[in-house]
Amino acid sequence: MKTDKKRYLSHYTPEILQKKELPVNFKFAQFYTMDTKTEENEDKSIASLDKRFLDIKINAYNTDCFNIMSTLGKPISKIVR
Amino acid sequence: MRKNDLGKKCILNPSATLIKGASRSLICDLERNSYMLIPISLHEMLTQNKKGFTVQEISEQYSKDNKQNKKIILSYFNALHRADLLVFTNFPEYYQPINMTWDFPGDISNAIIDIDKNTTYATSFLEQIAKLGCPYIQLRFFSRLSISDLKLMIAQLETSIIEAIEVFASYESDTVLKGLIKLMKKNYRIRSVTLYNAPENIIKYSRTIGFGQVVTVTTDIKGHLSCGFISHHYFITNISTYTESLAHNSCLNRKISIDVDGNIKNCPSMSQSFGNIKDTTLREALDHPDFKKYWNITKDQIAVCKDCEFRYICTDCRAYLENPEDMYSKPLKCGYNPYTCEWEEWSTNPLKQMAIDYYGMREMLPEFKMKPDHVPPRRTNPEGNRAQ
Amino acid sequence: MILIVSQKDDHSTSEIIQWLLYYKIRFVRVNRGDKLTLLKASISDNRWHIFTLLSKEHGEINLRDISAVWYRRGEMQFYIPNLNFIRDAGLRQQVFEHLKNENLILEDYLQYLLNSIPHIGTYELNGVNKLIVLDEARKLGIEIPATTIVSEKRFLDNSQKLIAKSISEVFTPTTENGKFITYTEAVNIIDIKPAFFPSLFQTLIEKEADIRAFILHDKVYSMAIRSQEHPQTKIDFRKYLSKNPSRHFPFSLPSSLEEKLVKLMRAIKLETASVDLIFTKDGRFIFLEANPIGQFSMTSKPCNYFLEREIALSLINLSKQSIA
Repeated sequence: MKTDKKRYLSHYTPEILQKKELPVNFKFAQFYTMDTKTEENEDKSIASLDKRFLDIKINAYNTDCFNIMSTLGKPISKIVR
Repeated sequence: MRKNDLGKKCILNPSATLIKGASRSLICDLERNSYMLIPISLHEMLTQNKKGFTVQEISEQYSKDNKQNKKIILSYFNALHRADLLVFTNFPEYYQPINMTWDFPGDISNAIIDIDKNTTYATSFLEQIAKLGCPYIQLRFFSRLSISDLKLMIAQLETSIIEAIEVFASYESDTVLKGLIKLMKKNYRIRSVTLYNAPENIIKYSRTIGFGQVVTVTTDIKGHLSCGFISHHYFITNISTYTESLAHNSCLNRKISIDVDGNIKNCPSMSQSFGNIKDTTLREALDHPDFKKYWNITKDQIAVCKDCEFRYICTDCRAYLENPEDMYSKPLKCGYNPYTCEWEEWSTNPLKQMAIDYYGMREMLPEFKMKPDHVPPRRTNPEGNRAQ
Repeated sequence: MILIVSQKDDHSTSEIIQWLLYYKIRFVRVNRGDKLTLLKASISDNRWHIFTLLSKEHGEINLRDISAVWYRRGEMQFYIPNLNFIRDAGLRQQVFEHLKNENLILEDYLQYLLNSIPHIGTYELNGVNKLIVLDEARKLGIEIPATTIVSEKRFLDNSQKLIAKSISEVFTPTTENGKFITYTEAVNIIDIKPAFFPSLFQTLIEKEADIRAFILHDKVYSMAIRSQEHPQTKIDFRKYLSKNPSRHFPFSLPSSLEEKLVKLMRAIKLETASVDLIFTKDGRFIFLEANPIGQFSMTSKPCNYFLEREIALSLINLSKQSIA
């Protein structure tokens, strides 16, 4: 299935969830239409354990793909027009 | 604006800040990363009515029964409303302005490493940069880029705090370009690759998840002399750069660099060296009493910039100055005149010629000529901003 | 040393760690899924214990070294080795269950020991009970929406506009077609069947803004969320998923309400939580829920509150108390 990036479609409820035994608020919005397989592959391609160390080895923490969203927020140098 | 909006109580959007220039003002929407030019009279109206107003009352108060003025004032507020800069509320006292302090978890926030054919560098500098808490690095290659060298550097970063790397290099061939795109796909740390002296200005690759771009540009870059470019394309309207500019220097604050000869400086274009990376650590250079000398020079202390409406969203350059003897003079490569609101060709300005020769830039002038899009729009949308 | 219990993809944790690194504070981060083993524990009668964990990722962690704990997400679970060497599948399963039970006691004991160390966040696998929190809020004089839970239509009040929402957490199922999310929905009484699974209804409140307040000990950091004023404002569709993007403004609750919210946190035993309120068109504040594991970065960034730094500083403060 060819996939899109995240798209928000409102009020699409899979038939199977329309049963009367279920809670009243079971109306769904489809949040993702990404092919879950592609998503898995993307996740694996990122170094899974990304440890950061101080000079002493005791401290470590893990980061992952969500970290890639941060940036400095301003240009580091102004060398290109 | 609808008629019944005119009588509703409102305030200026709390995400918006105002910057007064010599001849006009700027409203910055820090949440939407956009800005809009406004007349100083409107700036005054907004600052005098911070606690809330109705458009009806404010237009009456300041027009003093002059119908023409009233129409003009209403059109101002219409423009603000269309730009989502008015917030209607009966309880303005609960809404607060954004906290304007700046802070950063690192002794250094950004680093520039220049590399040319004579540069011999031990890559231990990467580890040193990481030890200073610096997450963002820019590598500027002024000679042929060796992809294998780049790969070696990236491999070192496997367990590093360094989050993002930007690469500048000259365009060699499509093969090298493809190699770089491949490298970027595998390494999320590589955020941008810009290849200069290329056949066209175009985005060659853009990552689907997270930020990452490979771009080619036609400009030719001849080393650090090419830096220091002031343009509306570099205007950034976000909270961290805005608040940083209020208390610190927009370019040099928490920056460190290594030039092509290995000299550790505030930036490669500055003259003062704090040691060579071969025998001095970055920490030693940083701890030198003069290293942070320029970190707190704000726009409000710089000639001409202090009167410019763009001063808190603009970059800066302390390396190339209009008056090389005066640390508080305006950047050499800025052609904006806030007194006339005109963008002029700086490289032909007779007052700048002495500095151009002082820095040895005479040969490069043709490259520096302003492009047709040098004038910023009166109002930007977020799409209009160049930065990531 | 500060112990952080989290999970791998939690970016807020990494941000707080950046501040700890900057302040040169020792810490160890244990993520859900990390292989923990108990190396040794001795329970003696005066100075109570030595409890050393061995983690594949971090090496030895001695509880004596821990001066403060931050429970961000996840839990610490002890490792059960691979039992495939037991050929009898039935026996293997039973051995597995037994080892799991052994571990449960150890994990429980670990929590008991950690509880006496200053901490932020709770080790509560079930989270906080929405209904109990509403009740506690009401007792403290905090306004809450008129709330009912019914399983038959005849009990619903026709005269009011109603919304329906989950009693527990928001349900986000994944199917082969993609991921879904349930939203708090306005209810059309006609559509409702006569009987249904117990569902929670609240009266629809006309609001000026949603308020998200992040509470850390006795400080309250609030933000108002509103839809944009002008529908035609051009926005960057790369950044906003919906056609009506929201605005986020720093906000200040009345101090009397802030005091009550802090009291509420004490009553439900939380040092930190993200609280959702509605700010009505006529200026009232209506409490909706408290979420112990909240996304505080969505409040921290637009308002420039530096919550990540404040949490780091709070942990440092707690660990100083521990040593005293």
